[in-house]
Amino acid sequence: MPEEQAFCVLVQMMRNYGLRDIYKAGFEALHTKFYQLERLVQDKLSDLYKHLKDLGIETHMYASQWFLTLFSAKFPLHMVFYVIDLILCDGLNMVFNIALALLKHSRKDLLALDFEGVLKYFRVNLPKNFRVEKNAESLMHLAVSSKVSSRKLRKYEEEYRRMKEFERQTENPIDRLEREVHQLNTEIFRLENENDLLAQELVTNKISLRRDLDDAEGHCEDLMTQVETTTKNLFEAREEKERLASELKQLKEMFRKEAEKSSLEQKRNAVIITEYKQIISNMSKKQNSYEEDINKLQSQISRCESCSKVEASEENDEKPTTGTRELELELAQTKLALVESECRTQDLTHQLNNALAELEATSKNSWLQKTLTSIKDVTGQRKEEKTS
Amino acid sequence: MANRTASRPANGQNKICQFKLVLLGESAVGKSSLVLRFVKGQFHEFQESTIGAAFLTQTVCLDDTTVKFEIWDTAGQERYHSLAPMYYRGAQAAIVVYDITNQDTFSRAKTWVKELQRQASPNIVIALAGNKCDLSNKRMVECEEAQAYAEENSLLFMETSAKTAMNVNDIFLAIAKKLPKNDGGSGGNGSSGVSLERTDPSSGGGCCK
Repeated sequence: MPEEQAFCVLVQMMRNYGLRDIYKAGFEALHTKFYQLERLVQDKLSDLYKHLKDLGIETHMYASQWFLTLFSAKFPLHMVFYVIDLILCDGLNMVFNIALALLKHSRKDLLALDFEGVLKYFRVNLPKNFRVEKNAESLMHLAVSSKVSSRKLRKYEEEYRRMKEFERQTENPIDRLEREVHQLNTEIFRLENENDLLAQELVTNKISLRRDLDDAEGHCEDLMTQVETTTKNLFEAREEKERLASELKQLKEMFRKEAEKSSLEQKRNAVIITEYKQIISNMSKKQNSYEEDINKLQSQISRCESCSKVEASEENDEKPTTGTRELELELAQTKLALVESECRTQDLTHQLNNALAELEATSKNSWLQKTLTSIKDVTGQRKEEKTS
Repeated sequence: MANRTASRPANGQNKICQFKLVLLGESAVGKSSLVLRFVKGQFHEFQESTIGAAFLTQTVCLDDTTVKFEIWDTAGQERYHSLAPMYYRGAQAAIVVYDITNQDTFSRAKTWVKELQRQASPNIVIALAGNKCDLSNKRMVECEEAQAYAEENSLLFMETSAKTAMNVNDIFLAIAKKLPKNDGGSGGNGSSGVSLERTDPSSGGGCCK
C-alpha cells in the first residue's frame, strides 16, 4: 500500500473508529476499556477471573499492549492482519472479542500458573502459540463466534463512570483538594517551564530577527550603491551611443558625397574617352585621305617623267613614310592610354564598392577613418594622374 | 558475569525474600536496558520502546538471604504517567533513572522522586541511577550534583551503564541490602507491600485499596 493511502487509513482509524480516544490525556478511555474487559471476563470466564484476582493480576498488566497496539506489538504479522481486518469491518469493540478469545484459548494454561508464570505466559508463550497460522485462524473463528453485546459494554462503561464518580465523592475532601492542588502545582510547573521556554525562544528569535534585519539593511545599502553606479554607466553608455550614431551619420554622408564625386569623375572620364575615340577616328580618316592623296600623287608621278626621276631619289621617297609612321605611333600610344584609363576606372569602381560594403558592415571608428583616408588617397592620386 | 552468580538462587535453609521493584524515568533513559542487563545480561543497541509496562524477575544472593526482585519496567513517555501509580503502588523499591547526557531527564527524575515520596509506600527504598555513563564525553549532568541531590533526599545513588554493565548489578544489590529482610517474607506476590503499608497508617495516599 502506498504511504499516502496507509496514512489515510491510519487517520480513519484514529478518527472514525475512535482509536484516538484511547491515547488521550490520562488514558481515561483505556482505563474504561480495562474495566469493561475485566467485567466481561468475570461474566464469561468466572473461574479465570477468580484465579487472576487471587494472584493479584490486574487487567492492565497484560492487556495494555492489546488495546494500545491492537495486538500488533507481540503477535505474529499474519495474525495482526486478521485482527486489523476484523476491526476495520466490525469496529474497535472487536478488540474485546479477540481478547476474550485469547483468554478462552489459554484458560487451562493460565489456571495452572502462578503470578510470575501468568505474566510470562502472556509475554512469551501466548504470542508464540500463534506463529502457526492455523492457530491464529481458529482464534479468529472463536473471536467472531463469541458475542459481546455493545449494550453490555455500554452498561459496564456507565458502571465504571459511576464508580469513579463515587470514589471522587467519598474521598476525604482534604485528600481530594490535596490531589487537586498537586495537579494544579504540576500544571503550574509545566506551564512555567513552557513559559520559560517560550520567553527564551522569544528572546533568541528577537535577537536573530534583529541580526537578520541588520544584514538586510546592509545588503540594501550595497544594492542601492550598485544601482547608482549602474544608472551612471547606463547614462554614459547612452551618450556614447548617441555620439557614435552621429559619427556614423557623418561618415555615411561623407561616403555618399565621395561616391557621387567619383561617379561624376567616371562620367567625365567616359566623355574624355569618347572624345579620344572621335579624335582617333578623325585621325584614321585623315590617314585614309592622305593615303589616297599619296596614291594619286604616285600615279601622277608615274605618269610624269620628270617627277619619276625625283621619285627615284631616296630622300623624297622617305618623307611621307616617316609622316605615316609618326601618325601610327601616336595612334598606338593613344590606344594604350585609353586602355590604361579604362582599367583604372574599373579599379576605382571596385574599390568604391568595397569601401561602401565595409562601411555598412562595420561601425568601428578607427577603421572607417583609415578606409576613408585610403580612398581619399586613391582618388587624389587619380586626380594627379589626370592632370598630368 | 556477576549476573550469573546473582541469578543462582541459594536454596536450603536460606531465607527467601521477595520484593516488588519499579523503574521510573523519562523515556529513552535506559530503564528497559538496565533491566535487560540485570535479568538477562544482554544489551540491545536498538531497544524498542516499552508499551504499558513489562514484568520480569531476577534473584540475587545476599549473605544468607536470597532476594527475589519482581521488576516492573514502566513506559517512560509522559502519556503513560497515569498508569505509573498502578505499578509503584505497593512497591518496596524503586529505581528512578535519568540519562547523564540530558539535563531534562534529571529534572524529570527529581519530579518522579517527589511523586514517589508523596504517593508511594512510605518505606519505599528509592535509588537514583544516572545511566549511560559510558557516554561521559557528552555528560550534561555532573556526578556531584546528582550525588548531592541523592544525599539530600536520602536516596541510593550510582552512575550506571547498561551498555558496559557498569554498576548495574551493584545498584540492585545495594537496594537488596537496604531493604528490610524480616518483613519481606516469602509470601504471596505484592501482599508484602500491602502489609508494610498497614504498619504505618498515618500517611494515606490512596494506596490501600
